[in-house]
Amino acid sequence: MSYTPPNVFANGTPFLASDVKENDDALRIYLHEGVVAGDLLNTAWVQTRHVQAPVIDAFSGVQHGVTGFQGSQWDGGALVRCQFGSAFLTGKRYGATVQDNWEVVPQTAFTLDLRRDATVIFHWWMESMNGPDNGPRSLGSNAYMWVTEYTAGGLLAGTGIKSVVPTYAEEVVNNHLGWTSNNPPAGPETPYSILGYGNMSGVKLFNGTNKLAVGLAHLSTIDRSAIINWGIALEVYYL
Amino acid sequence: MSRIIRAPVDAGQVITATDLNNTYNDYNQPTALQADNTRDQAFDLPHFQNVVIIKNTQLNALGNTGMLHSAPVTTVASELAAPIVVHPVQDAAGTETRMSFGANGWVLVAGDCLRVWWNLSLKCYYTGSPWDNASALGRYNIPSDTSPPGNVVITDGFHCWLAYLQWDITSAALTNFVAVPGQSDPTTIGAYEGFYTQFLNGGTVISPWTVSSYAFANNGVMPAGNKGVGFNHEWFAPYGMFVHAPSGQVTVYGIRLVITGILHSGHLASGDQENVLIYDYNVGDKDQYIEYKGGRISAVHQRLA
Repeated sequence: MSYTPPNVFANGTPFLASDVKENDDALRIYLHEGVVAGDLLNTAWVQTRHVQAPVIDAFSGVQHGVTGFQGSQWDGGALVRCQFGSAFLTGKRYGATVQDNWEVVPQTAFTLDLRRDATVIFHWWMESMNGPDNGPRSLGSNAYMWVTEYTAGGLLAGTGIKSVVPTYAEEVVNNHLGWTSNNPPAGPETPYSILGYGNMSGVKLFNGTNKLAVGLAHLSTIDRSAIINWGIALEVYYL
Repeated sequence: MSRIIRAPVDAGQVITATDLNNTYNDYNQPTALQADNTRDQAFDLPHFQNVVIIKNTQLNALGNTGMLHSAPVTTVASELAAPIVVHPVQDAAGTETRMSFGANGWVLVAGDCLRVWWNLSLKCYYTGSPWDNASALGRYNIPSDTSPPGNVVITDGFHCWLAYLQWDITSAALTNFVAVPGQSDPTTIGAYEGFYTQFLNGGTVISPWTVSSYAFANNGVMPAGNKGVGFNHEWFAPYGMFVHAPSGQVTVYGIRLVITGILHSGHLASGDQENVLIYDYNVGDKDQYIEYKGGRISAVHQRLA
C-alpha cells in the first residue's frame, strides 16, 4: 500500500488537530497521485464512468485527456490560411549576429497547463516560399529563413522571452541566388523558383511541470517568406 | 476488501484512538480501491505512480554547434569504390555526435515502441556536370538537330545521397552499430553496391543537385545546346524518422545517423526486377561532397500495451 497514516493515535495521549490534518493531507495526496497497481482490486472492474472524460478546448484545439494533452492545428482558422516570416520582424537583415532575435510564427504556439511532470512531444512541418529578395544584407549573398521550436515557461503562447536552441534550427534559402529583374538569365532556362521553396519538419522534446508555452519561432534575413502550408501536432504524457 | 462504510463522528459522541486509526487504516489495505469505493471519473493517469507511458526520452545535438553556415562544418566525401564505409555524423573534430543510452541501455520489450526523429542542416556541393560523366547512371545521350547530327547529354536526375539510422544492440561500448530494423547497410547487388529499397525504412534520400533540361524534342531530336543546367540547392535541412515495435526484448545502447552516397535508383535486371538504390562511382569525386552544420536527434521509448 502506498498510503500509510503518518500518525497512529493511542488512548491516553494528547489528541492534536495537527495530527489529524496530517493524516488527512497524506490521504488526499495519496488519492490524487499516489495510487499504485496493488491498491486496485485485482479483477477487472474499472468502467468507462470511472475514467475522467477528456476536456476539449475548441479554441486552441487542445484536448486534455487521460494521458495528458493532445492537439493539432494546421492553419490559422477561417480567415488566415498562410503565415509569414520576415527579416523586418526579426530586425536582423543587416545584423552581424542573428541568433538572439527570434519571433514567433503566428498560430503555431500552445499554452499547456500541466498538472505534474510531463514529456511534451512537439511535431511540426511547413512549406514556405521565400523571397525573391535581392536586397543587400551583411551575412553574405545568401539569405535564409530559419525556423525552430521555442518554449516560454509560465507565459501565454506567443509572448514574452523565448528560449531557442539555434543549433536545432532548420533553414530555407531565398529565392534564386542573385536574382534580379534586370539580370537574366531568367524564365525557363533559369527559373528563379528553383530555389526559395522549402519543406521543413521537426520534432522537439520538452519537459514541463506546470505552465508551458511551446511553439515555432523564426529568424530571417529574407524580406518576406510566405508559409503556405503548415501543421503542428502535440503529444503530452505525464510521467 | 469490502466497501468502506464508516459512520462520521457526531458532536458529543465518544471516540477512541482505535476509531480514529480504523478510519485511516481503511485505506491502508491492498485492493481498497474498487468499484464500491471509487467515484465516477475518479481516475486520470496522473493519479497513478509508476504507470508511465513514456519510459525513456533523450535528445542529442548532431554535428556542429550553431546555425550560421560558417565553420565549423563537417564534410562527407562521396564514395569512389567498394568497400563502402558510411560516414557517422560527427563534429568537425571527428567526434561522433550520437545517442548513448548508458551502461544499461534502453530495454525494449514486446509492447514497447521506439520512436526516433532527426534533422540536420547541410549543403551538397558539386563541380562541373558530374551527371554527364561517362557511364554515369541515368545519363541519356539523345540525337541533336545539329548538322551534321550530334548528341545532347541529359540526366534523369535520380542521383541522391542517403542518410539512415544505425543502432548498437550489442554493448555500451558502442562499437557495433548496424542498420536499424527495416533498414540495411550497404550490400552487394549484382555488380553494384547499394540498398534494396524495401530495406530503407530508416533512411532519407537527399538531392545533391537540380538539373534543368529546358527544351523539348523536335521530331525526335533535341535542339543543339540543350544540355542540362545544374543548380545548387544551397543549405537546407533534411529530416527523418523511424519507428520500431519489437516482438521480443532488445537492449538498445546507442543510435547514430550515418550519411553515404552518391547513389542512383535502379532495378534488378531479372527476377522480380526489385527496385534498388546503388552507388554511382561514375559521379563520385572529391568535388562532390556534403557539408553539414548542426541538427538534433530525439528518441522516445514508449509503452504501447
